[in-house]
Amino acid sequence: MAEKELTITPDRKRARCITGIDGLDTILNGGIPRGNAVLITGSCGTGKTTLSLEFLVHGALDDENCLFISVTESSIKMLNNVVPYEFFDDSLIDEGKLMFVDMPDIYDELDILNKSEFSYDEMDEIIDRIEEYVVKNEVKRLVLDSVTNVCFQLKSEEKIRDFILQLMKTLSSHGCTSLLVSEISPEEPRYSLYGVEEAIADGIIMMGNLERQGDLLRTLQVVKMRGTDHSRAKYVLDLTSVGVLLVPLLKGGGLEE
Amino acid sequence: MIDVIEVDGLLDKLETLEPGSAIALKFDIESYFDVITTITDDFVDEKSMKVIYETSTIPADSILELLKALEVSMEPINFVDAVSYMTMGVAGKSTGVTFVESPTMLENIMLKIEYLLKKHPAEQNTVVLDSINSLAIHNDNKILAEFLHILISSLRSYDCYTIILSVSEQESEEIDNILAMVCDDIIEVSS
Repeated sequence: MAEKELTITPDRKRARCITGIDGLDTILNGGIPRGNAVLITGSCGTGKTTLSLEFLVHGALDDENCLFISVTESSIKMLNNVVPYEFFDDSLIDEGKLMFVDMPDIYDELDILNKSEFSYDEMDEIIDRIEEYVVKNEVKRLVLDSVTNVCFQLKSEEKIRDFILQLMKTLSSHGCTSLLVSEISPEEPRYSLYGVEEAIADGIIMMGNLERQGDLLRTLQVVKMRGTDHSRAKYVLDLTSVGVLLVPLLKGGGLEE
Repeated sequence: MIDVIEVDGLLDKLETLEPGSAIALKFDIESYFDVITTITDDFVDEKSMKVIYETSTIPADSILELLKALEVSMEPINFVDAVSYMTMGVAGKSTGVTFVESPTMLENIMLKIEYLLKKHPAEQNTVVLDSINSLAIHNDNKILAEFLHILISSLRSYDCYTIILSVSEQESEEIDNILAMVCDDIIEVSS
């Protein structure tokens, strides 16, 4: 039987997008496989936006062009609310390494700002506009905060599936590693609000609050990451001025989630 | 094996430690201040290192006042205070103090120590845990052993000295077993 040439890239050879968050890169065995679209999911106050922004800042410091698309709040407000990083440098923004776009501005340009539901064509236009930014600015890292909020105006499960699938394909085709922030309520026993995002994403990083004997701990768990071996254990994190820090969750005591 | 030494000989003993060592110091409550002064002043000064002092025994402010009274330089010392929040006594006045809400939040104690190691990088660091007895009041022995195992392993990678304080009057067999398991050396300091 003739040998077929396989196109599978072995785990160790797949190029990595080093997040710059020490603990996370260790968990991911060296970083996120480049081009992956990763769902950062969790309820409010779990550190999704802070972690995502740090991912971009490290990318920008490493000379990669990075784009943050803010849907829920203006970028200026968001920047004022995150932990002030000691390694952050304003020149990253001035030099265009770290870019911010407010999604309402894109909606406004497309004349769909006040629409309660987007059509398929309008959905395509949004993706085209994001692609334009990525191509024009050679963006290598992108954060969409949050994909859940974009999906509010897509309504049907099919449209949401199409939107996320197209967006991820588009970003990956340009070698752009992306974090798509997904908001869920604390009681949800799932990884995304609509249930379709988690199936399509290349990776899922679940962030949560764990209550143990009255203490509330912030946790992080990599549930899935295509293209790499990774730890699936739960870690406790802290949002600090030197960045996100992670330690293993201790298992000796009784846990209550 | 447990080494028994006089308080006066503690500094000489500490100086023989290899970087990355983890030791337990067992002493009577009346030697408490002599022991912490030897660690935070003489030992630190000798080695020109920084200290991260975790307290779950008495508030950091109280230790700070005492050390200031003894004219110990505060510059190389940073505190992780895991007791003040719990006693509703957080003043937040002192610089160099990072708070953890409760001594039951062992992961957060690890995170604050790591934060201080990254925020104030030094060639050499000592991490003091004051004390295993007070941590044992608030935590199950199993989780405490797990905490010490992970923390000490992590600190070894930074070449940090780890010094765990244990007050003789508050010891138990379980605590002795934990110390024997995680420490390179147990030193009994006699007054």
